[in-house]
Amino acid sequence: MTSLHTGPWVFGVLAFGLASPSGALAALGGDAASIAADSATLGGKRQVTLAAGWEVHELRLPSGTLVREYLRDGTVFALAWGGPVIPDLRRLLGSYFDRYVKSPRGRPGGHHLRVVATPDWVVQSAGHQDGFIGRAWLPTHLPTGFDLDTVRAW
Amino acid sequence: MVTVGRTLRMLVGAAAVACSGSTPPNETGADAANDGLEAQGTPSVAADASGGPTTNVAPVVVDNGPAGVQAVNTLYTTVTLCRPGTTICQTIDHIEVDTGSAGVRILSSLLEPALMLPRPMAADGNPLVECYRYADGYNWGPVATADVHIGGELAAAVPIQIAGGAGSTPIPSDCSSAGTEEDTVMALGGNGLIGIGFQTADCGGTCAGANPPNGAYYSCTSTACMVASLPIPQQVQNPVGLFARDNNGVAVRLPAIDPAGAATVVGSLIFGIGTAPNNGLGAAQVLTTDTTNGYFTTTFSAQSATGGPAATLVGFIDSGSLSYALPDTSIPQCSGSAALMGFFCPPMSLTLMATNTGHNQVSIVTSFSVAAADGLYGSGHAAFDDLAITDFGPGGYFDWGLPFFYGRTIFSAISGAMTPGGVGPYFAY
Repeated sequence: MTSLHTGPWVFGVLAFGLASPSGALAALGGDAASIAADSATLGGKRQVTLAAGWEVHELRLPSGTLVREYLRDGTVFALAWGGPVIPDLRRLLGSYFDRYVKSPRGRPGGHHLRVVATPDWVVQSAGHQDGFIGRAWLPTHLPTGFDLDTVRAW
Repeated sequence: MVTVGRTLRMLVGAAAVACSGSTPPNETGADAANDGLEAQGTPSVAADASGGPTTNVAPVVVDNGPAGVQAVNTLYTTVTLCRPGTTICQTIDHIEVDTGSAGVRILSSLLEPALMLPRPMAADGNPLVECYRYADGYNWGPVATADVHIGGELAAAVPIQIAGGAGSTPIPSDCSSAGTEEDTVMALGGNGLIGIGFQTADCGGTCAGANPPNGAYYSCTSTACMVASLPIPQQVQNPVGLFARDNNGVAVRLPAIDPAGAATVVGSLIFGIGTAPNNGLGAAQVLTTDTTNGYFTTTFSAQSATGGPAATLVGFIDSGSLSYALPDTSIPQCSGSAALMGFFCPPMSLTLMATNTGHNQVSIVTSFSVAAADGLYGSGHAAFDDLAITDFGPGGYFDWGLPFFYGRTIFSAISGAMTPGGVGPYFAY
């Protein structure tokens, strides 16, 4: 087992900047093919970092918001965002978006923090105008030894 | 129960009528019959005439909110809106008090049509509509102009948002993709929201430049909307900054409550810092924040219940958050109820410590309590000083939500405002 506490960024010795002017993003639970096929992009520059057992796709949006997606075997199992504007969660959360927006509000949260935690999917969103952060993941799809604390874009 | 009355009392020109802005926010449904349109003999508030020390205080309440909402740890007040320069007004209770945002937002469904607040247009002449994004969703609706009366203060001709009032214009996808639409009482958790945080306008320079990326303001036709640039003074404004006096910040004062919770808590929203006998900083210590987000630093030992390394977190104080939120993997989380997932359920109540440090390097060691959320919610009470939820890991947020406000007076200074404690933005307690 690798020393995962060092995080994927240290491990990402194979980092290669795609610097694509129009990087695309897959949705949570989506696959890498959807990244390539997804022509409707959020704009910005994308960078891919390889880590031990997974890879990280990073996209800086025109708004300044940073999005990171974590893929294993071509599937997005986690993502995070941080910046002045909430990114397009419909795109990022994919099939989970409708469940997210319809999940009960009022208990976990208030307007500046929302936590939706189910056994199969988790979304956390916090902050306010000009300073939002959030992350989402699929607990049953995490690679062995993956440290959730590394899922961040802030 | 809140019913914004349908009884119109168009007593324009009548003798002076006491401003309804003093309507208690915890009024019953029967009392709320007064919430219809009403005329005021003078746009200024009756309490002003007394010159007394309480002309800068709005009563606030924590209760279960409008019918059906079953709110928890939600702070409400009452606001009176008037057509600018007139005495045609409407008083609306159960307006959420939010130190984490700026601006007045009222649900369109509750506004009397006869109030007819003027609606400014976008630069291209089309209707001006805003998407105001929270962390948990958004309000979508046009900008209107109103005289906002609250607690004896007046913000004249201030841009506000009429949430849900954009008619059939489709909501742009870059707005609806932010989360849940909160343009109903049930979704918002109140009849409206008054943002009284450190910002003077709700978007600022981000929305004022040319082609603002993901701006908040839109020029809308009946079929489509385009992001529009909007000068800062025309954006939805924090009303506090527009008061003639007591305009440099606010203080929220709530009494201490029992650890088991309280059904109703009544307190005060006091305007101004050091501007009147009732709003001095006293022994409160000032924690300055960054000017973009209003954040300070919270140092907290995750696993502090058993001792562990200290984590440095982004800290903020927010009356609009209903719980503490902190990363601590050592405290057991609730199980069994989907609605309680993520909340802490320690077998015995915990008293924990964290240190808040401002940009001015002032540090305050602060204790807080965490009790089992399932027991708290089971009580049916509305107010809890020990409700906490887990959130992001290292580098994440420590949200000092409404539980932190009980038993304290918490000051929030507006960005750039002069106060006896220095220039805002800052929090003090």
